[in-house]
Amino acid sequence: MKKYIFLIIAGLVLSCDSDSSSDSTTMSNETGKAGSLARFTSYNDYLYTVDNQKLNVFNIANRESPVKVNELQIGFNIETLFNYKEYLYIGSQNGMYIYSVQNPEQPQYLSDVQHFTACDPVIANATHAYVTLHADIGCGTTINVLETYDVTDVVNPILISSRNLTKPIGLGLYNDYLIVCDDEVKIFDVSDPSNSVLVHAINRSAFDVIVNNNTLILIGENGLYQYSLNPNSIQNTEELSTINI
Amino acid sequence: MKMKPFAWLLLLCFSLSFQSCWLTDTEDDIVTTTVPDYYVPVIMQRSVFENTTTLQTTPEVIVNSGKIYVKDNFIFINERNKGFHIINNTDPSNPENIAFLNVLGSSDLTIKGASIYVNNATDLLALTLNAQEGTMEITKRIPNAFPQISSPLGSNFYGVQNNEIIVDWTLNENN
Repeated sequence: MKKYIFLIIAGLVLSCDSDSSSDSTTMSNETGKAGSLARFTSYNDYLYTVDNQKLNVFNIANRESPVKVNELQIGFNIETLFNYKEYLYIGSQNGMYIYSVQNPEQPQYLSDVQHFTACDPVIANATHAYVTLHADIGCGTTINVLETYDVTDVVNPILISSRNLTKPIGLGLYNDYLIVCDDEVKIFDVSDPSNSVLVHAINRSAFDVIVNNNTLILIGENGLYQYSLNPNSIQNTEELSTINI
Repeated sequence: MKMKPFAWLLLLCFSLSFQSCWLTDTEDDIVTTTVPDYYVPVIMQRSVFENTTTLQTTPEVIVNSGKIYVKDNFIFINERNKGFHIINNTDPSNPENIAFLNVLGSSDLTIKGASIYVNNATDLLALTLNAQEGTMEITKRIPNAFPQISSPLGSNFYGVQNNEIIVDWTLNENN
Protein backbone atom coordinates (compact mmCIF):
# COMPACT_ATOMS: atom_id res chain seq x y z
CA MET A 1 0.00 0.00 0.00
CA LYS A 2 2.78 2.39 1.02
CA LYS A 3 4.47 1.84 -2.32
CA TYR A 4 1.36 2.96 -4.17
CA ILE A 5 1.12 6.08 -2.10
CA PHE A 6 4.73 6.87 -2.96
CA LEU A 7 4.07 6.25 -6.62
CA ILE A 8 1.09 8.57 -6.57
CA ILE A 9 3.11 11.23 -4.81
CA ALA A 10 5.93 10.74 -7.28
CA GLY A 11 3.45 11.08 -10.10
CA LEU A 12 2.14 14.32 -8.71
CA VAL A 13 5.62 15.58 -8.06
CA LEU A 14 6.89 14.75 -11.53
CA SER A 15 3.84 16.17 -13.22
CA CYS A 16 4.53 19.62 -11.83
CA ASP A 17 8.28 19.44 -12.30
CA SER A 18 8.42 21.68 -15.33
CA ASP A 19 6.22 24.51 -14.09
CA SER A 20 7.78 24.67 -10.65
CA SER A 21 11.19 25.28 -12.17
CA SER A 22 10.24 28.85 -12.99
CA ASP A 23 9.76 29.94 -9.39
CA SER A 24 13.07 28.54 -8.27
CA THR A 25 14.75 30.91 -10.68
CA THR A 26 12.65 33.91 -9.74
CA MET A 27 13.42 33.22 -6.10
CA SER A 28 17.10 32.82 -6.74
CA ASN A 29 18.11 36.36 -5.89
CA GLU A 30 16.38 36.13 -2.54
CA THR A 31 18.64 33.31 -1.45
CA GLY A 32 22.34 32.77 -1.91
CA LYS A 33 24.28 29.59 -2.55
CA ALA A 34 25.79 27.13 -0.14
CA GLY A 35 28.49 24.57 -0.71
CA SER A 36 27.69 20.86 -0.81
CA LEU A 37 28.65 20.34 2.84
CA ALA A 38 25.81 22.57 4.06
CA ARG A 39 23.37 21.49 6.73
CA PHE A 40 21.00 24.42 6.18
CA THR A 41 18.80 25.08 3.19
CA SER A 42 15.62 26.99 2.49
CA TYR A 43 12.72 26.31 0.18
CA ASN A 44 10.00 28.90 -0.28
CA ASP A 45 8.86 29.94 3.21
CA TYR A 46 10.71 27.19 5.05
CA LEU A 47 14.15 26.70 6.48
CA TYR A 48 15.35 23.11 6.73
CA THR A 49 18.32 22.06 8.82
CA VAL A 50 19.84 18.71 9.69
CA ASP A 51 21.66 17.77 12.83
CA ASN A 52 23.21 14.44 13.69
CA GLN A 53 19.92 12.52 13.56
CA LYS A 54 17.11 14.88 12.70
CA LEU A 55 15.63 17.07 10.01
CA ASN A 56 14.31 20.31 11.53
CA VAL A 57 11.65 22.43 9.84
CA PHE A 58 11.25 26.15 10.49
CA ASN A 59 8.54 28.36 9.06
CA ILE A 60 10.15 31.62 7.85
CA ALA A 61 7.10 33.24 6.26
CA ASN A 62 8.02 36.07 8.57
CA ARG A 63 11.69 36.19 7.59
CA GLU A 64 12.80 37.84 10.79
CA SER A 65 10.98 35.50 13.09
CA PRO A 66 11.41 31.80 12.30
CA VAL A 67 9.16 29.31 14.07
CA LYS A 68 10.15 25.68 14.52
CA VAL A 69 7.24 23.64 13.21
CA ASN A 70 8.53 20.09 12.97
CA GLU A 71 11.42 17.73 13.52
CA LEU A 72 11.80 14.30 11.98
CA GLN A 73 14.07 11.46 12.93
CA ILE A 74 16.03 10.57 9.77
CA GLY A 75 18.88 8.28 10.71
CA PHE A 76 22.33 8.50 12.24
CA ASN A 77 25.41 10.54 11.47
CA ILE A 78 23.66 12.90 9.12
CA GLU A 79 26.06 15.29 7.49
CA THR A 80 24.64 17.27 4.60
CA LEU A 81 21.40 18.67 3.22
CA PHE A 82 20.80 19.64 -0.39
CA ASN A 83 17.63 21.04 -1.90
CA TYR A 84 16.55 20.61 -5.50
CA LYS A 85 13.09 21.96 -6.19
CA GLU A 86 10.67 20.18 -3.84
CA TYR A 87 13.19 17.51 -2.90
CA LEU A 88 15.60 17.32 -0.02
CA TYR A 89 18.67 15.15 -0.46
CA ILE A 90 20.15 14.18 2.88
CA GLY A 91 23.64 12.74 3.09
CA SER A 92 24.54 10.59 6.07
CA GLN A 93 27.53 8.41 6.78
CA ASN A 94 25.43 5.40 5.90
CA GLY A 95 23.52 6.52 2.89
CA MET A 96 21.46 9.06 1.02
CA TYR A 97 17.86 9.89 1.84
CA ILE A 98 15.37 11.64 -0.43
CA TYR A 99 12.42 13.53 1.06
CA SER A 100 9.68 15.51 -0.62
CA VAL A 101 8.66 18.88 0.81
CA GLN A 102 5.57 19.29 -1.32
CA ASN A 103 3.83 19.48 2.01
CA PRO A 104 6.48 21.80 3.45
CA GLU A 105 5.79 21.26 7.14
CA GLN A 106 5.54 17.49 6.79
CA PRO A 107 8.50 16.29 4.72
CA GLN A 108 7.68 12.94 3.20
CA TYR A 109 10.19 10.11 2.99
CA LEU A 110 10.55 8.96 -0.60
CA SER A 111 13.57 6.68 -0.70
CA ASP A 112 17.06 5.99 0.50
CA VAL A 113 20.15 4.16 -0.62
CA GLN A 114 22.51 2.64 1.91
CA HIS A 115 26.22 2.17 1.50
CA PHE A 116 29.31 1.47 3.53
CA THR A 117 30.16 3.95 6.25
CA ALA A 118 31.79 6.94 4.65
CA CYS A 119 31.25 10.64 4.38
CA ASP A 120 29.01 11.70 1.61
CA PRO A 121 27.84 15.07 0.49
CA VAL A 122 25.15 14.75 -2.14
CA ILE A 123 23.97 17.12 -4.86
CA ALA A 124 21.32 16.61 -7.49
CA ASN A 125 19.58 17.98 -10.54
CA ALA A 126 16.30 16.95 -12.19
CA THR A 127 17.54 13.53 -13.22
CA HIS A 128 20.65 12.59 -11.29
CA ALA A 129 22.16 12.67 -7.83
CA TYR A 130 25.91 12.71 -7.30
CA VAL A 131 27.42 11.42 -4.08
CA THR A 132 31.03 11.35 -3.03
CA LEU A 133 32.13 8.75 -0.52
CA HIS A 134 35.28 9.45 1.36
CA ALA A 135 36.49 6.90 3.87
CA ASP A 136 39.77 6.61 5.63
CA ILE A 137 41.95 3.96 7.19
CA GLY A 138 40.23 4.53 10.56
CA CYS A 139 37.60 1.93 9.78
CA GLY A 140 39.67 -0.32 7.60
CA THR A 141 37.71 0.73 4.56
CA THR A 142 39.30 2.65 1.76
CA ILE A 143 36.26 3.59 -0.25
CA ASN A 144 36.81 6.76 -2.18
CA VAL A 145 34.30 6.92 -4.95
CA LEU A 146 31.99 9.16 -6.89
CA GLU A 147 28.56 7.55 -7.20
CA THR A 148 25.94 8.60 -9.70
CA TYR A 149 22.27 7.76 -9.18
CA ASP A 150 19.47 8.05 -11.67
CA VAL A 151 16.75 9.80 -9.66
CA THR A 152 14.27 10.29 -12.48
CA ASP A 153 12.06 8.11 -10.32
CA VAL A 154 12.78 9.63 -6.90
CA VAL A 155 11.19 6.74 -5.04
CA ASN A 156 13.60 4.37 -6.71
CA PRO A 157 17.09 5.81 -7.15
CA ILE A 158 19.29 3.60 -9.28
CA LEU A 159 23.06 3.48 -9.03
CA ILE A 160 24.32 3.89 -12.59
CA SER A 161 27.97 4.64 -12.06
CA SER A 162 30.62 4.26 -9.39
CA ARG A 163 34.00 5.74 -10.07
CA ASN A 164 37.14 5.47 -7.92
CA LEU A 165 38.75 8.71 -6.92
CA THR A 166 41.47 9.64 -4.42
CA LYS A 167 39.57 11.31 -1.58
CA PRO A 168 36.55 13.14 -2.95
CA ILE A 169 34.64 15.54 -0.71
CA GLY A 170 32.69 18.63 -1.85
CA LEU A 171 31.11 18.78 -5.27
CA GLY A 172 29.11 21.10 -7.49
CA LEU A 173 27.35 21.16 -10.86
CA TYR A 174 28.06 23.59 -13.67
CA ASN A 175 25.88 22.94 -16.72
CA ASP A 176 26.91 19.49 -17.96
CA TYR A 177 30.00 19.48 -15.79
CA LEU A 178 30.51 18.06 -12.33
CA ILE A 179 33.22 19.67 -10.24
CA VAL A 180 34.66 17.47 -7.48
CA CYS A 181 37.13 18.38 -4.73
CA ASP A 182 39.50 15.43 -4.85
CA ASP A 183 43.29 15.36 -4.39
CA GLU A 184 42.95 18.22 -6.83
CA VAL A 185 39.80 19.84 -8.15
CA LYS A 186 38.51 17.68 -10.98
CA ILE A 187 36.00 18.62 -13.63
CA PHE A 188 34.01 15.82 -15.25
CA ASP A 189 31.83 16.02 -18.31
CA VAL A 190 28.61 14.35 -17.17
CA SER A 191 26.52 14.94 -20.29
CA ASP A 192 26.30 11.14 -20.19
CA PRO A 193 25.93 10.70 -16.42
CA SER A 194 26.59 6.97 -16.55
CA ASN A 195 29.97 7.66 -18.09
CA SER A 196 31.68 10.67 -16.52
CA VAL A 197 34.73 11.86 -18.41
CA LEU A 198 37.52 13.81 -16.76
CA VAL A 199 38.03 16.91 -18.87
CA HIS A 200 40.02 19.27 -16.68
CA ALA A 201 41.70 19.59 -13.30
CA ILE A 202 42.75 22.53 -11.17
CA ASN A 203 45.74 21.93 -8.96
CA ARG A 204 44.22 23.12 -5.69
CA SER A 205 43.48 21.42 -2.43
CA ALA A 206 39.88 22.21 -1.49
CA PHE A 207 37.10 20.57 0.49
CA ASP A 208 34.10 22.40 -0.89
CA VAL A 209 32.95 24.30 -3.92
CA ILE A 210 30.30 26.81 -4.94
CA VAL A 211 29.55 27.51 -8.58
CA ASN A 212 28.24 31.07 -8.71
CA ASN A 213 27.22 31.82 -12.31
CA ASN A 214 30.53 31.60 -14.16
CA THR A 215 32.69 31.91 -11.08
CA LEU A 216 34.09 28.87 -9.30
CA ILE A 217 34.70 29.41 -5.59
CA LEU A 218 36.84 26.86 -3.77
CA ILE A 219 37.48 26.64 -0.06
CA GLY A 220 40.37 24.64 1.38
CA GLU A 221 42.39 24.49 4.57
CA ASN A 222 44.91 26.85 3.02
CA GLY A 223 42.89 29.25 0.98
CA LEU A 224 39.80 30.62 -0.72
CA TYR A 225 40.33 30.40 -4.46
CA GLN A 226 38.25 31.87 -7.27
CA TYR A 227 38.34 30.93 -10.93
CA SER A 228 36.38 32.09 -13.93
CA LEU A 229 34.58 29.36 -15.85
CA ASN A 230 34.00 29.47 -19.56
CA PRO A 231 30.94 27.42 -20.57
CA ASN A 232 32.27 27.05 -24.11
CA SER A 233 35.74 25.99 -23.10
CA ILE A 234 35.86 24.18 -19.78
CA GLN A 235 39.63 23.72 -19.90
CA ASN A 236 39.96 27.46 -19.95
CA THR A 237 39.70 28.20 -16.22
CA GLU A 238 41.37 31.40 -15.20
CA GLU A 239 42.46 32.08 -11.66
CA LEU A 240 40.92 35.30 -10.38
CA SER A 241 42.14 35.51 -6.81
CA THR A 242 43.42 33.72 -3.73
CA ILE A 243 42.97 34.56 -0.08
CA ASN A 244 45.60 32.61 1.79
CA ILE A 245 44.55 30.94 5.01
CA MET B 1 27.03 1.75 31.36
CA LYS B 2 29.22 -1.25 30.62
CA MET B 3 30.47 -1.82 27.12
CA LYS B 4 32.14 -4.82 25.66
CA PRO B 5 35.60 -4.36 24.14
CA PHE B 6 34.15 -4.96 20.70
CA ALA B 7 31.66 -2.16 21.22
CA TRP B 8 34.48 0.13 22.26
CA LEU B 9 36.42 -0.81 19.15
CA LEU B 10 33.37 -0.04 17.07
CA LEU B 11 32.98 3.29 18.81
CA LEU B 12 36.63 4.09 18.19
CA CYS B 13 36.21 3.23 14.53
CA PHE B 14 33.23 5.52 14.35
CA SER B 15 35.06 8.38 15.99
CA LEU B 16 38.03 7.96 13.69
CA SER B 17 35.82 7.93 10.65
CA PHE B 18 34.38 11.25 11.77
CA GLN B 19 37.76 12.76 12.05
CA SER B 20 39.01 11.49 8.77
CA CYS B 21 36.38 12.90 6.54
CA TRP B 22 34.64 15.83 8.10
CA LEU B 23 36.25 18.83 6.48
CA THR B 24 39.78 17.61 7.05
CA ASP B 25 41.95 17.69 4.05
CA THR B 26 45.67 18.00 3.75
CA GLU B 27 46.21 17.13 7.39
CA ASP B 28 44.98 13.55 7.01
CA ASP B 29 48.39 11.92 6.90
CA ILE B 30 49.58 13.74 9.95
CA VAL B 31 46.51 12.88 11.97
CA THR B 32 46.68 9.17 11.31
CA THR B 33 50.30 8.88 12.35
CA THR B 34 49.79 10.45 15.77
CA VAL B 35 47.94 9.11 18.79
CA PRO B 36 44.29 10.19 18.78
CA ASP B 37 43.86 13.58 20.38
CA TYR B 38 41.29 14.14 23.06
CA TYR B 39 39.03 17.13 23.14
CA VAL B 40 37.33 18.80 26.07
CA PRO B 41 34.17 20.90 25.75
CA VAL B 42 34.23 24.66 26.29
CA ILE B 43 31.13 25.31 28.38
CA MET B 44 29.39 28.64 28.86
CA GLN B 45 26.43 29.78 30.95
CA ARG B 46 23.43 30.64 28.77
CA SER B 47 23.15 34.15 30.27
CA VAL B 48 26.70 34.91 29.08
CA PHE B 49 26.39 32.94 25.85
CA GLU B 50 23.35 34.90 24.64
CA ASN B 51 25.39 38.10 24.61
CA THR B 52 28.30 36.80 22.56
CA THR B 53 26.93 37.32 19.03
CA THR B 54 28.39 40.56 17.70
CA LEU B 55 29.49 42.06 14.41
CA GLN B 56 32.96 43.54 14.26
CA THR B 57 34.06 45.68 11.33
CA THR B 58 37.68 44.74 11.77
CA PRO B 59 38.45 41.53 9.86
CA GLU B 60 39.87 38.49 11.61
CA VAL B 61 42.62 36.28 10.24
CA ILE B 62 41.14 33.07 8.83
CA VAL B 63 42.51 30.11 10.78
CA ASN B 64 40.18 27.09 10.60
CA SER B 65 38.22 27.59 7.42
CA GLY B 66 34.82 25.90 7.37
CA LYS B 67 31.88 26.02 5.03
CA ILE B 68 31.21 28.87 2.63
CA TYR B 69 28.08 30.68 1.52
CA VAL B 70 27.67 33.20 -1.29
CA LYS B 71 25.03 35.90 -1.54
CA ASP B 72 25.19 38.78 -4.00
CA ASN B 73 28.60 40.40 -3.57
CA PHE B 74 29.47 38.71 -0.31
CA ILE B 75 31.14 35.44 0.63
CA PHE B 76 30.73 34.12 4.16
CA ILE B 77 33.48 31.79 5.40
CA ASN B 78 32.84 29.91 8.60
CA GLU B 79 35.57 30.00 11.22
CA ARG B 80 34.70 26.72 12.89
CA ASN B 81 32.73 27.22 16.08
CA LYS B 82 33.73 30.90 16.14
CA GLY B 83 31.74 32.77 13.51
CA PHE B 84 31.84 34.00 9.93
CA HIS B 85 34.35 36.03 7.98
CA ILE B 86 32.54 38.40 5.65
CA ILE B 87 34.28 38.90 2.33
CA ASN B 88 33.33 41.71 -0.01
CA ASN B 89 33.50 39.96 -3.37
CA THR B 90 32.23 42.76 -5.59
CA ASP B 91 35.40 42.23 -7.61
CA PRO B 92 36.23 38.48 -7.52
CA SER B 93 39.75 39.39 -8.64
CA ASN B 94 40.18 41.37 -5.47
CA PRO B 95 38.06 39.98 -2.63
CA GLU B 96 38.31 41.90 0.62
CA ASN B 97 37.94 40.46 4.10
CA ILE B 98 35.95 43.27 5.73
CA ALA B 99 34.18 42.05 8.85
CA PHE B 100 33.65 39.20 11.28
CA LEU B 101 30.37 37.97 12.70
CA ASN B 102 31.03 36.36 16.07
CA VAL B 103 28.74 33.34 16.45
CA LEU B 104 29.94 30.77 18.95
CA GLY B 105 29.41 27.12 18.06
CA SER B 106 28.56 27.94 14.44
CA SER B 107 29.07 25.93 11.29
CA ASP B 108 26.26 26.85 8.92
CA LEU B 109 24.62 29.93 7.49
CA THR B 110 21.87 30.52 5.00
CA ILE B 111 20.14 33.66 3.80
CA LYS B 112 16.59 34.44 2.74
CA GLY B 113 15.93 38.00 1.71
CA ALA B 114 17.56 40.24 4.29
CA SER B 115 17.54 37.59 7.00
CA ILE B 116 20.54 35.47 7.90
CA TYR B 117 20.03 32.18 9.71
CA VAL B 118 22.90 30.63 11.64
CA ASN B 119 23.40 27.92 14.20
CA ASN B 120 24.68 29.42 17.45
CA ALA B 121 25.64 26.15 19.21
CA THR B 122 22.24 24.81 20.36
CA ASP B 123 20.27 27.83 19.16
CA LEU B 124 18.98 29.01 15.83
CA LEU B 125 19.50 32.72 15.26
CA ALA B 126 17.78 34.94 12.72
CA LEU B 127 19.60 38.21 12.23
CA THR B 128 20.01 41.12 9.86
CA LEU B 129 23.23 43.01 9.31
CA ASN B 130 25.00 45.65 7.31
CA ALA B 131 28.65 44.67 7.14
CA GLN B 132 29.81 48.01 5.78
CA GLU B 133 28.06 50.07 8.43
CA GLY B 134 28.78 47.55 11.14
CA THR B 135 25.19 47.20 12.29
CA MET B 136 23.64 43.88 13.31
CA GLU B 137 20.37 42.96 14.93
CA ILE B 138 19.27 39.58 16.23
CA THR B 139 15.61 39.39 15.30
CA LYS B 140 14.90 35.97 16.80
CA ARG B 141 16.63 33.34 18.90
CA ILE B 142 15.18 29.84 19.14
CA PRO B 143 16.92 28.24 22.12
CA ASN B 144 17.74 24.53 22.04
CA ALA B 145 16.70 24.04 18.43
CA PHE B 146 19.73 21.78 18.00
CA PRO B 147 21.65 19.28 20.14
CA GLN B 148 24.83 20.31 21.95
CA ILE B 149 27.74 20.38 19.49
CA SER B 150 29.93 17.28 19.22
CA SER B 151 33.70 17.20 19.36
CA PRO B 152 35.74 17.17 16.15
CA LEU B 153 36.06 13.43 16.73
CA GLY B 154 32.28 13.12 16.86
CA SER B 155 31.93 12.38 20.54
CA ASN B 156 29.33 13.97 22.79
CA PHE B 157 29.51 15.36 26.30
CA TYR B 158 26.48 14.74 28.47
CA GLY B 159 27.62 16.42 31.66
CA VAL B 160 26.17 19.85 30.90
CA GLN B 161 23.47 21.41 33.06
CA ASN B 162 20.26 22.95 31.73
CA ASN B 163 21.67 26.44 31.39
CA GLU B 164 25.05 25.44 30.05
CA ILE B 165 26.02 25.51 26.41
CA ILE B 166 28.96 23.80 24.74
CA VAL B 167 30.37 26.49 22.45
CA ASP B 168 33.57 24.79 21.27
CA TRP B 169 35.96 21.91 21.87
CA THR B 170 39.65 22.31 22.60
CA LEU B 171 42.49 19.85 22.81
CA ASN B 172 43.00 18.56 26.31
CA GLU B 173 46.58 19.53 27.16
CA ASN B 174 46.81 16.69 29.67
CA ASN B 175 46.56 13.99 27.04
